[in-house]
Amino acid sequence: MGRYILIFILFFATDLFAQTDVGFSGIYNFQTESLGIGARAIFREKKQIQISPQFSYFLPTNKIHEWTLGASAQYKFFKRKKIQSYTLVHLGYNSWVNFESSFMKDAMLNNWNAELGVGVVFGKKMKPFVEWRYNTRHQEGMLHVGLLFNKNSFKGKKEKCAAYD
Amino acid sequence: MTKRNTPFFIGASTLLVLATTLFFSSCSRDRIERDLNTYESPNAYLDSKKQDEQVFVIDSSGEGPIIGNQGTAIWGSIDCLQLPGGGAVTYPFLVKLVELYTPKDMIYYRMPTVSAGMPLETAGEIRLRAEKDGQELSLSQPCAFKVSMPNATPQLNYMNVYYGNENGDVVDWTTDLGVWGITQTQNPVFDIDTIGYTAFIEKLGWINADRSVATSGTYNVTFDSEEDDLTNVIFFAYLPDTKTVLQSNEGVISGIPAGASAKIVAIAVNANGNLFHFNQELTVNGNSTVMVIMTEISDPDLTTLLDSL
Repeated sequence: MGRYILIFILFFATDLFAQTDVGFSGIYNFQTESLGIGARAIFREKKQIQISPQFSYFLPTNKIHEWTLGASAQYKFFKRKKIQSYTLVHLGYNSWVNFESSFMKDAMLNNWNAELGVGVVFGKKMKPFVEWRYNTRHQEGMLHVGLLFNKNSFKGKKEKCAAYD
Repeated sequence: MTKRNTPFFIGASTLLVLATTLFFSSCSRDRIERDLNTYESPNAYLDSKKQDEQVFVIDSSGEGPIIGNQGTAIWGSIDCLQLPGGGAVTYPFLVKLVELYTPKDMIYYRMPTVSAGMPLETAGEIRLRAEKDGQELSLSQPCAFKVSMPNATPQLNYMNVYYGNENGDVVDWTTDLGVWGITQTQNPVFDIDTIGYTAFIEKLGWINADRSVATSGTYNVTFDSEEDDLTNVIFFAYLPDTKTVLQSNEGVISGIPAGASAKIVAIAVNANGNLFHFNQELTVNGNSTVMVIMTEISDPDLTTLLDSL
């Protein structure tokens, strides 16, 4: 798992992807009653169809301990001022660490999961977002709440010189 | 639709499809909850096994008796029967009889021997009805039919005449004819004859030769399982010492006397129509919980099991 995380961090750190949004989120799975954390990047942020590699990790303190590495295709269908809405399809490789403690008969360590979802992003620099997602394999609903950043996020406002007024 | 609006409508349509999908997709807690075997109601199976109702066409007067295929004898007069409005009955008319003399038949028919939640000892149950042109007939007052219920070792002044008070799917047994507005004129205690127990009954319907086993101090048995969803499983308890049949209500069998030996039988059918069962013997000395693991069983094997109760 460490190898995947390292690749993901390097991926974020590279200037090559300076035009992308990156972000993190808190996740709650309503059916497994589990809390997780997530990280993501969003390519083609200005475009209608976006690609977003993502990683999520549900902590060992939960009933379900697992991590998922995957990517979403997002379709932006509404944009007005600082609000954008999108639908998404996510495909991910899932490692269900504590699968042996589940009552499920066909529980496995390694799984491929698909998720459908809808989300809303607010703002232009630091962008809070909320996403509802549905895992079609396990039939579970999840809420992602997080924050996206881009290269403009930490730039201050340009000050106008009084001499030009 | 303008070109400018196209993405919005595509998005809105996608969202609608997604919302519809999510709405109709059931969420599941299978990963943290037990993935239990599920069953459907066994009522159709039990109905297929229960005793047939025998129909006798009465087309002329005679001395009788009408004799059922398990030996129940019935004597009655057409003069004692009346139409729903109170009118006289003419020939021909029908007499219908169901005979339940074994725990197996009482289980198949789901006819436990319980009066107001308290267990009864039974010597057999019958359902006696009369019909004319599709109309249910009743006994005029004061009038009675004589019935004799077969028994190898009847005891004098032991069994009472209980009538079945049908309330939905449940039949509660009572000796109180006042429930139907009938004034009792006959001896409510069974006499004995060469057939077994005999009495004059003052109401048609379910009749039971019973004796109260306990009026208080009874216990419950509840059921739980780590393997099976017991929602649609029906549990029965047979108490051999008193020939009492009890049936679960919402997964609980109640009314078991202290110290009673109980043979528990559970019956269910899965979605494929396969038959499942559970059986266990226990002595009940308090409220208790029985852990259940349902196992598949063939129809002949379940029949043999019920015959052996």
